[in-house]
Amino acid sequence: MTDQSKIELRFNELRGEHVDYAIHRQERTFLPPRGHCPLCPTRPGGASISDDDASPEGEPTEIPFPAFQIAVFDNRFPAFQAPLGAAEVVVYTDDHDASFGTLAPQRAEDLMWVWRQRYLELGDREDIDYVFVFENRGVEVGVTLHHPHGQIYGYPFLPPVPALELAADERLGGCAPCTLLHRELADGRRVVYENDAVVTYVPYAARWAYEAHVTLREHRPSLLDCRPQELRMLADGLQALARGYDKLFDRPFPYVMAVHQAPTAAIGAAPGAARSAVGERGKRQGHLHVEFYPPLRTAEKLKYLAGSEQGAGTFISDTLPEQSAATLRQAIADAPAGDRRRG
Amino acid sequence: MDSNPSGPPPVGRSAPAPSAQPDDCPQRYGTVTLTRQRKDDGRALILYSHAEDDPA
Repeated sequence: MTDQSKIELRFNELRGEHVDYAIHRQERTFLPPRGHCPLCPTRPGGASISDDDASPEGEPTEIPFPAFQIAVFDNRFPAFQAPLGAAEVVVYTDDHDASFGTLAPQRAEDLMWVWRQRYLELGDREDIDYVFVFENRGVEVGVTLHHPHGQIYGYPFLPPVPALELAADERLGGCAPCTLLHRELADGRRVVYENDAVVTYVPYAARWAYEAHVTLREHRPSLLDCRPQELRMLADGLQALARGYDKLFDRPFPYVMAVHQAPTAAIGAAPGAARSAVGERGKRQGHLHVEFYPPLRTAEKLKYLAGSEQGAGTFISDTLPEQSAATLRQAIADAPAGDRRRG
Repeated sequence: MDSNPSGPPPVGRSAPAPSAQPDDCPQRYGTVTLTRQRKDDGRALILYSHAEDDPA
């Protein structure tokens, strides 16, 4: 376990935001060779199952079993740790060469239940105000391990982005994602995929060329509020988008996938009041939706956060969302269906 | 769409707090069965399998 004293939270007064210092992460595993992947299963004798040349006396991986389906464990190099938050790794499969988009549909649905179970358990902790499920895919967004996996951070405070979404609720006089979804459906030009439970669209004011939001049709603050069929449809929508991204430039498409849900702190409640993640207590705001931020603007060109984005906070985009949506919609339609052989 | 008149399903909220269960005792949650482990260095490890594959 990491010494909690190595993690320090400071508040940047000028920005009005927290900065998390986790200096032990400087030493974290960085793009290891395939045979030393810590997220692969452990072959009998110890070494990574994907290492054909490994010594049988090698160390076990993070998952000390010869096979598994989905595994969640405490991050060895945590950005947050009890009693001030949590950092977990979610390994989607024991297949090193799979991806979220190529998981069998049943595995993707199972993953929704895993996310939900972690939201329930972490959200019930007194030290966690916001449970954030996410995936970084591709070295372009800073991936350090190629094995298909995501992460979950339990923040001991409400981070700025979900706080902005709650502020948008106030500004629009109701649930902002509900309002924006109605607008997108009425316009139609930026919708790229729909099923019975979710709508995927490139937002009217997307920051990234191929940014897309997968939004529940009904107002569901979190995964806990979803019906089983909605979780299945959410997995379908997310996978359709992931496969469409890969089809777009016929290459593995880097992205950040961010699952936005209701805060798990009792927003507006008195100090010490009961928490709200698993009950009806407190004021539960938020609308489950999943945002994708892909850094590619063409097959070879990345969008960088430069002067205007970093220094002034204003994105400059080279593409119109309507154009991107038309291209992405076609890519999703042309993408192969899920490979049911993948674990 | 600002309301959910039919109410949320009871699946998640009626589930017992997983942390109250002993390690190695499989629990059903939705479509998955989870089994808790503890790594040698004390970190938590949870293994999830599709429930139909694991009737326990």
